[in-house]
Amino acid sequence: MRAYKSIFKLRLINSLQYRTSAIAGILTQIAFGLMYIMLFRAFYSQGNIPENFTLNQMSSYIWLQQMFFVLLYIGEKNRPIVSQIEQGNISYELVRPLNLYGNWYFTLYAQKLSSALLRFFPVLLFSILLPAGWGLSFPASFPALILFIINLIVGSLLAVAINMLCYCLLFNTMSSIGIFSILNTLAVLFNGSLIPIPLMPNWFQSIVNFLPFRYVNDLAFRTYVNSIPLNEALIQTAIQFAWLVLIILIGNLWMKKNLKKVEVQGG
Amino acid sequence: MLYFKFFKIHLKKLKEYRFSMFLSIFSQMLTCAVSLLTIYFLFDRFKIVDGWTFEQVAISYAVVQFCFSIIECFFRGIDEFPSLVKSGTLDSFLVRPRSIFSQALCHQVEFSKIGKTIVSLIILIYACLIQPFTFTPLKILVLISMVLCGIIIFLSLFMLAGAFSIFTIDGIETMNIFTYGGKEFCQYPINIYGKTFTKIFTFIIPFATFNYLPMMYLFNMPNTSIINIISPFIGMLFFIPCYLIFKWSLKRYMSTGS
Repeated sequence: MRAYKSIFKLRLINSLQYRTSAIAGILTQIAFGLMYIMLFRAFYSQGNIPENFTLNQMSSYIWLQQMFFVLLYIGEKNRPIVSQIEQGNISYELVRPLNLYGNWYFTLYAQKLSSALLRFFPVLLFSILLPAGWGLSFPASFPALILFIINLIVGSLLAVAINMLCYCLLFNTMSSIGIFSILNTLAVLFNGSLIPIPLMPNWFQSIVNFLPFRYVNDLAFRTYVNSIPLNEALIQTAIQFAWLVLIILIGNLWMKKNLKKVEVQGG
Repeated sequence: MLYFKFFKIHLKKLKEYRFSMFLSIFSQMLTCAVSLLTIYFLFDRFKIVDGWTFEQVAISYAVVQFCFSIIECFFRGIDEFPSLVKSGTLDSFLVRPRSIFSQALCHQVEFSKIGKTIVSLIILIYACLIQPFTFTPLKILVLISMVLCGIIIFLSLFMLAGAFSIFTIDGIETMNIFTYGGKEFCQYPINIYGKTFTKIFTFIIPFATFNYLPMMYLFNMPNTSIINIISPFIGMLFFIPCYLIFKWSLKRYMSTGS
């Protein structure tokens, strides 16, 4: 465990240095947040607003999404890891007395966390200053806040676990083009990043509920804005944990299977 | 033409990687279909937005997607300009006896985006077919000028981003708000975003000229005038100041030396 801790720390410090790209990220997040809120407000003025998703809840949901965009993003491509698989440098990693899955998992997680840490506070500050219906409201209750934090942490772990499946698949395809963007496209459709899940048609919501993607972000945000009652949210948190364990398990087994027949090209 | 020579070279390069090419074309198509699906979901619930129906919004969606994918596919090089500046590769362009602008355009062609181009073209044609009226020749002309105008405006914006990168070297991602953000923004007729934003994106960055202004004419909305018909041509003029700024910035270029 100590080895993973130091991998995590090293990568965290490493990526905290990229401040200029963080500033650009913050501005982009704010611009997109405002744009989405203006868009959904235009639709909301037509009426037929879902009961469990009022204007205030919608704007808070959008800002939470922007705030934790990097943390909960599914489908990012880590160049160094991809080239290890594609070009055979993976052999160096295999010599180390570490579980490769764990090694990569914490590398990816540290990278996510560091970019998120740099970005989330300015967006929080900006959104909390906006008037109601435009900005971020306070959480519904103290228990909701606590549950939100738990959901957020488990959700971010789940995001990395889903991402790891892509790296496992990479062993079979040997080419990273397309895979990550296909995963991202499906994830943003099914986790409410394009339009919040309560605004989707009912038939589509029932599909979404069967898939792991919405447990990455939607559950946490809806706990925060009280769009899901607390007792229901508790049950869903259990499902979220189950998904996390299941997907990490699948990833580990898949990786083991891959490593048994790994072929390293020379050079 | 220089551009077509480069084009052929890029095409040859791709023949070598067929499976990857297929996967990335598929992923482009998927992205395009998914974003249209979400627009459909919104209209499924709300029916109408600011007087615009799904059929009408499908036009603005298809136009902006098509314009943007043309840029991404054929003029990808201009998007990469900031990285040329940062890496210092631009130096090698300067010594060649061709204009920097055309070299930047040729520099890269991204065929994988052809998937997006094809799908958005299909959506555009489909969107035209589902309209409750038939297109008159003038309306078809307006639609074509909208597409041309959109391509030119996005090209100008990428050029502007390139010009800024000469001064800032780094941190140019902020310009993505106007290019990639603009693409998202223009999926809907922009007057739904309220008066202030409509004004900004009519008079400062003229997104409106290939978006809601000519669309008002296409859909026979009240209070349209000759301005609505010729607005795409007015929007194309945006290229001139952007090109001048680009030229001016090149004179101030100092190599990063790497």
